[in-house]
Amino acid sequence: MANLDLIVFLSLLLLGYLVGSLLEWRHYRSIQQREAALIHQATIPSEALPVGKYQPIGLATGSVVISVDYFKRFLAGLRNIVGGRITAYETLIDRARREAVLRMKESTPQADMFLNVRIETAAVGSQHLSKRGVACLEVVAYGTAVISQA
Amino acid sequence: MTYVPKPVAENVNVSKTSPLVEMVWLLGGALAILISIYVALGFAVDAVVDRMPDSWEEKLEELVVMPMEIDEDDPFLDAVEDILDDLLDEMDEEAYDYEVGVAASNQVNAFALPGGRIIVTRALVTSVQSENELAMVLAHELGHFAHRDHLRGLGRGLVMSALSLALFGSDSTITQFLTGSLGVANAGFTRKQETAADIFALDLLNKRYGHIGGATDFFTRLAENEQRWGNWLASHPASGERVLKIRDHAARNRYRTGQVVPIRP
Repeated sequence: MANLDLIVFLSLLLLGYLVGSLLEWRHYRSIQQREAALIHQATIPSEALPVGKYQPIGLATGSVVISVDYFKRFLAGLRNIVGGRITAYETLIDRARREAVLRMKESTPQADMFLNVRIETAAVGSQHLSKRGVACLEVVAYGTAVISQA
Repeated sequence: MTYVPKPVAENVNVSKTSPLVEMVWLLGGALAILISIYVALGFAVDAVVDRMPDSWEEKLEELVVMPMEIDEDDPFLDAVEDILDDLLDEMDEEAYDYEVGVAASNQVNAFALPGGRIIVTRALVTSVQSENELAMVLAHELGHFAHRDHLRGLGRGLVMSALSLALFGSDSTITQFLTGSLGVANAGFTRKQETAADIFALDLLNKRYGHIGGATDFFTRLAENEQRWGNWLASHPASGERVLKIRDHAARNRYRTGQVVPIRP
């Protein structure tokens, strides 16, 4: 029985690594393409309207929920023993943040810029909620959509 | 001056390290540390077991949970008890007040528990084809008692559970994986113990019956059912390997093979 558990575990690890890497690669390719396409929509953390003829048109939000693969979750668990930078989770956060901003932009294609842009994260189904929960992350990006009236 | 947006060329928020390399380092390190602690504690357990007073073992007896329910009315119980008594008569010293029980289980298995308790399963008793074969199994468990393996196994098991519980908690994936790996590291120790118990059993069987007929039957039958792979993970040596070792020992001591006695319920 112990052997079977080990085989299942190693298969999950391999599956997580291979499929996880593929999905991550595809997601990054999509993010880069869309970021390049939407680069004319500026995202500005400041509240102040720039000088000129601009009109705020409302709230724009984008959110995404994203999870890590089995391999990275195990890797992060091991890293917890000795501490240090959990590099396994860096791409998770990076992808989620960029995807949320992209979705905010895509939600309001007519906007020329977004003011007062904020990014927030929340853990969904985290370990403390249920012992065997799947650790995943929600990122929300929101801001004031602004159009140019020039 | 107008602002022209440009894409950011480099991503500073993601480290350029390979997760595979990190995995190798972390996993290798964790396993190396755990195995060394485990081996060190294992030696400590061995040292304690050899010097442990019998009164401690009586206390342990109360702590150990029966792995299986004993069936007091098993039709084979008397026969099994008789075989054990005959074997005990041949032993020079009896370290324990031995007791044997038959458990109603479909798994072919036998256990040696603290305090001299032996449990054989009904499936084992009904699968053997001669009294000699069953005597070999019982003598094998007596060998474990003589070498105090039952306490060693218990001690190592305790060490292993305590370690993983302290580090990661009871039901984390990491605990399961690491204890699984430690089980592999431990398999080498127990295989040696199993072989030693086999040799002990063979000598006792020869003393009791004057020959070693039926000694390898049980393992030969097991070998036929065994898968060909995965033996390095097993806690018991491959049955084919055991048969060879038993035959080798028998040949060296010039043990004869004789007529086996059929078992009666």
